[in-house]
This record gives sequence, C-alpha cells and structure tokens, in this order.
Amino acid sequence: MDPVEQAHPSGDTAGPWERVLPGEALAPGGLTKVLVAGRPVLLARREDGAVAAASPVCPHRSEDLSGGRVYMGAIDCPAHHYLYDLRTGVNLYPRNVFPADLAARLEPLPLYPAKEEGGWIWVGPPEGEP
Amino acid sequence: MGKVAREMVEKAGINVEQLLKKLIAAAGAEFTTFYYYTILRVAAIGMEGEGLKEIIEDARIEDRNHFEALLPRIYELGGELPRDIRGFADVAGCPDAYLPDSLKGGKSPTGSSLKDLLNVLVEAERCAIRTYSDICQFTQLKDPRTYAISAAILNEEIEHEAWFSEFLGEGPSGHFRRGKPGASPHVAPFMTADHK
Repeated sequence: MDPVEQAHPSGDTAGPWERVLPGEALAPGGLTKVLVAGRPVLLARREDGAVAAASPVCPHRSEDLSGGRVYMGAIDCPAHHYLYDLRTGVNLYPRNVFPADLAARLEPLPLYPAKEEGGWIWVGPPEGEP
Repeated sequence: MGKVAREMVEKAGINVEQLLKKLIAAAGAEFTTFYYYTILRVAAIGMEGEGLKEIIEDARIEDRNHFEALLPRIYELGGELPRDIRGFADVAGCPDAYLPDSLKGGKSPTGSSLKDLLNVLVEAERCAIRTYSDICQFTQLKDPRTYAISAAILNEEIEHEAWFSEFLGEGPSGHFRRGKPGASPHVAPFMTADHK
C-alpha cells in the first residue's frame, strides 16, 4: 500500500482527507483497520459497494469491531452482536427490541467521512474537527 | 481437559483461547435466553398469545439444551465457565431478550404488542444464527467436534427463527412443531446427560 497522503480530492476544502487504501483491496462485505492521522479507523465496504469509515471500538463494551462482519449494511460486533448502521452509526440491534429506557442508552458508533475516488479510499476528519 | 483433543485443535491452526471466548459467550447467551424466554412464554397469553406459547417453550428448552451441549466442549478445550453467574451473564454473546414495554403489567399480546413480542424472539434467534455461523466458519475443517456441535445448534436456531418469522408474515418455512417440547432433534446426540 502506498503511504497515506493528505489531499483535497474533488477540490474539497472542508479539511484534510487522507488516501488510505486502494479501493480494490476492500471487497464487498470486507473490513479492515487502518491508521488515519495516527488513530485507528475501521474501513468497511457495504454489500452495495459503498465504503464507510468508523471507529473500530464498539460503543457497547469497547470490543474491536475489525473482527466483526458487515451484515445488511451494518457492522456486527463479534462480541455481543450489536449492530450499527454503517450509514448513520445508529445502533440497529438491540435498539429495535430493547425497552425504551435501555434503548435510549445505546450509544452510536462514531463515523468518519469516507469516499472512493481515483481508485482509492479516502477518509476525512470526524465531524466537528478541522 | 482433553489434552490431546486440545493439542489437535491447536495444531490445526485454531487460536483455542479465542475459540473458548466464542464458546463461553455462546453458552452465556443460551443460558440468559433460557431465562428471558421463560418470561416471554409467561407473557404469551390471551387469544393471540396462546398460539405462540408452545413454540416459545420449544425454543426455550432447546436453548437450555444448547447450553448443555456446549458445556463439555468448553471444558475439553481447557476452558471453564465464569465463577460468578453475573459475570457469565455479562459475557453472553447476544443482548438480553427483554419483555417489550407494551406487555408490561400482564397485558395480553395483541396487534402491535404481539408484533413487539415476536420481534424480540425473532431477533434473538437471528443473533444466535450469526453466533453459530461465526463459530462454524472459525472451526470448519480444523476442529470437527466443535464444528459438529455448533452446526447442530445452528440447525435448531434456524428453525426457531423460521417459527417466529412465520408469525410475522415473512413466509412459510415448511416446518412442523416438535413431537414433544424442546425435543432438540439436531442437538440431542451431543448432550452427554441422558436426553429422551
């Protein structure tokens, strides 16, 4: 893999994007962990081909999500099978079946902006960061 | 512990500690699900709920059977159950299958509350299917005994999901109910205690 590069693909000016992985290295349903600006980031390719970038740490019990699976557009935590939507980060399961008071406590999975361009996967800064 | 049994699995390339973590999590999920399904079965009352009671009972008893079938494999491989049952519940590999809010207070499930109950059940089974699919893939062609136990459990979890999804209108599965509650047609051969 080429070294990580900082750039502004497509003329983006919202902050530095980093070129992190050749697109072909991540098959549909694939997961991998990369370092972006010194911090670990989970890359996932959904079944529909879109890429997503997220924290690799499950908000439930801090398990490493890189050992999980992509499941119907979500990341399935290998430890307790909590599901997080790779488009929004929202907990899908057990939020959909938990009592309301417990569902309200389920933290979302932090996501990073991600895109695929020029054959590469690019990851942007988390929202709220320059 | 089965010394050679463990060595063979290690030599096949499996990280046994990682496998034990998966098996203990699966056993914990079966044990806690047995508990929560007891509450859900109790709640399956009234004109609409009563029809669900028997299959909840089948799934409840079979989940306990799954725990029984996993237990010897954990110890054969050199693992053990957590000393404290609270710790065991904490490492359970699937979320707790709580009684839905809409059935609090002993209400009979009907309409949307019946659907809430079914969703808890079907999602718990889907979590179990993901659990055993993972263990099967982890052990396939490397640990035939763990694979066979997990595949047998997976067969029953798939049937459980189908029972509940039929009630949700997701289409037929072609299954028929058990001849007796919790018969475990796939897992019974792996239960070391007498199971008839």
